[in-house]
Amino acid sequence: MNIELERPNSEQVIVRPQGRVDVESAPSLRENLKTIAETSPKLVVVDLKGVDFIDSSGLSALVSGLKALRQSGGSISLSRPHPQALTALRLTLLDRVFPIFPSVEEALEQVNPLMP
Amino acid sequence: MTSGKISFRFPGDETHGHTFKEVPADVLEIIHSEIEGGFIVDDGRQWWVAKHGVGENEIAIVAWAEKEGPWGDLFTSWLALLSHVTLEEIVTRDLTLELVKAWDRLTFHFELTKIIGRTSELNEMLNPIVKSLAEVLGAGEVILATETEMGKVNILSSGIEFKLPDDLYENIVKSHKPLSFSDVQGLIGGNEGIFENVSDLIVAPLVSSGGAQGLVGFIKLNEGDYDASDAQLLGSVAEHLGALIEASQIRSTREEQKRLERELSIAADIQSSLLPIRLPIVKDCELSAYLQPARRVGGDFYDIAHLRTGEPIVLLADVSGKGMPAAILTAVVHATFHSEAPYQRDPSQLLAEINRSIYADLDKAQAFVTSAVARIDTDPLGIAYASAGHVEAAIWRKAKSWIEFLPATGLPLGVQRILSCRTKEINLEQGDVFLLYSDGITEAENSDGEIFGAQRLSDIMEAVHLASTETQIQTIVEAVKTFCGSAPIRDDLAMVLVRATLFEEDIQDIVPFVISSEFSEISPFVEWVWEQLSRFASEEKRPGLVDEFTLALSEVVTNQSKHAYWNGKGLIMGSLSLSSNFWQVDLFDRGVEFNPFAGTDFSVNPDDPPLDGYGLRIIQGALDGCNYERLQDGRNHWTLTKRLIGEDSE
Repeated sequence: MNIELERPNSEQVIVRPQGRVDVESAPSLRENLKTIAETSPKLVVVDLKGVDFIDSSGLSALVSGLKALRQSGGSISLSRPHPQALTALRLTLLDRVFPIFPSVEEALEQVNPLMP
Repeated sequence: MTSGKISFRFPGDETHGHTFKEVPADVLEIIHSEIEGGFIVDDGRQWWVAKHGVGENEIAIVAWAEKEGPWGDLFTSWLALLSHVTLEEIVTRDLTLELVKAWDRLTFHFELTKIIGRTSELNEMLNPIVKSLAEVLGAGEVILATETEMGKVNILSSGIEFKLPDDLYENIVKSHKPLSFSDVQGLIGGNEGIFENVSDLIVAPLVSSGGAQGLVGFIKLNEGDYDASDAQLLGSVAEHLGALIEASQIRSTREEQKRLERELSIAADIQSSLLPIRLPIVKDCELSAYLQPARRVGGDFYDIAHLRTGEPIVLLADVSGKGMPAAILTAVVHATFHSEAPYQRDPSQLLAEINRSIYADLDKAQAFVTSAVARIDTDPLGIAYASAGHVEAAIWRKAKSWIEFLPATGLPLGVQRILSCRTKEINLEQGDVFLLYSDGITEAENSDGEIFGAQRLSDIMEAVHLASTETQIQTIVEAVKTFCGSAPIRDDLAMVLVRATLFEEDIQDIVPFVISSEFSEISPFVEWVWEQLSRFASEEKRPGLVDEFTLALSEVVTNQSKHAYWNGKGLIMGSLSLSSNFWQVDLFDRGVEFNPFAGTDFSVNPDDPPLDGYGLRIIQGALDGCNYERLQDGRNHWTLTKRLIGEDSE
């Protein structure tokens, strides 16, 4: 799994993991989110477009990132999940925890979430 | 075959010594021009011209060769050298004599090339080479001593073989430079009459990059000493011969390897032709067999013959040793088995008869054969089994869900002149699986020095017993390969598997699997399961159901890998049982006990979601059933189920 980072402005970070986020690669996502949280952004958008498989280890990494961000008043949104990722989020009820958006732009502006 | 001829000329003289005619106009033009030399192709002949010196002292040397040949580099350097050397001689000595000498030397190299082209046998080359060399030198003899695959060769150009003391040979070979001897008679003793009139000997070690060893020398008879130019020529000859002998040795080694390879390939063909072309169709039974020699040919094999009353008799044998010697004995056992099997109803009696026939051969070869024989009876279904020292056979008992092992009932063939052996009668119930195998399976070793063992074999038989016999065998082979990992499989693998047909086929497909428990194995496994499931899900159901099920399976396998084996090495095996309305996965591992369902109380508060526990949540949410049990034999068994009926109405 590769992770690309983009900072459109000082308060927002877009994180783009690529490939499988599972027991092997989740620690890397967790570390990346932790490092980002240390810069106290207001919003991190994890764009799941490039993630073809995510399991409980990946979800746990997202939750751990969310907790770290919340400490400095920030939050995490998700965008463009594949059906597999939506299934994983739904089964774990995490679709109620993370706002999910159909595009990165909408996630950055926090409008039109997939599930209100 | 290329042929060539050399002539030379110099200004103010006609061609000397050898004809110099039919020279094309453009070659003559080069000779008489200011140009230093050249190369011309004319009607398929190649012409080289080399010139040296100026005015009265200028020499032109012309050489030609028919067709294309390996002349280019040889000629260019030799022509240049020759013209240069000859120029020196013109200044100080009798020109004609030196030119003839130079011509002769060049001719020798030509002759050498021709001899090499005529034959690839080193021993056939050496005599003509020393003979030709002696002719070039005029009066005198040439000696050559070397070692070929046929042994030591000490020859003279006159065709006489002589004795050369080992210490003298060694000293010359190690000298790295030409040596001159005057008392040859005293030096090379014990050669009555051969070296009587010798006045001078110069000798040099053959020059090579290590492969060739030997010496070459010139002997002058009653004619004074050799000079510096002779030593120079000798050095050049030693270099050529060294390279030649070395090349010939390399070539003959390669040819020997090719010959062995051809023989081995024929032997492998013969051996595989001895295997049964097809397995018999037996009422209420399914049969599959497998053979994989560790080398091209092997000592393990299986065979099938029939009693005169029709019952099939299966043989699985393992001849001690490997490779060709073992392979030859397999043919002996094969022939004896086929001649005796129709008349010996009792497997132990059959083994005793085979032993009686081949005991003398095995004793002579100091070999023995372990062999198991099974007669398949169909009414009632059962097996009559006897084993001459062969590794235990295995039976998976479907009704009791356990494995029985059948030990040998006698000593191996070839151990005692009279074999004493017993026969064991076994009944088979529906779904029972009977497996004959060779010790290559159970004694396969991984890079940590662990062996595969009977335990892993029985684990796999349990996991895959519902699959087709062919699939069962392939899964066992895959498991052995997965277990061995990077370690090579050193022994032959042979198996014959018989299953009493199961008549309750409501499940459409059983797909067994064996994977290594490393994390990196999980994602390819999950993808493979996704493909298997997709065959049994309709288009509209597919995305959700297949994703859910494979996600849950991935969580369980990750859990096995992480907790049961602590991501150490182990095998995870099991089977998918798939139909269009029900999916089940059985997973087995031999890791430590781990109950993930202990203390489950899972809820998600959006304001404070838990950090973990999601895997369990997925397993519970995605499946209709997930059962974990710790088996008494120290294994973990997971059963994952999903009903597809009613999904549409939900």
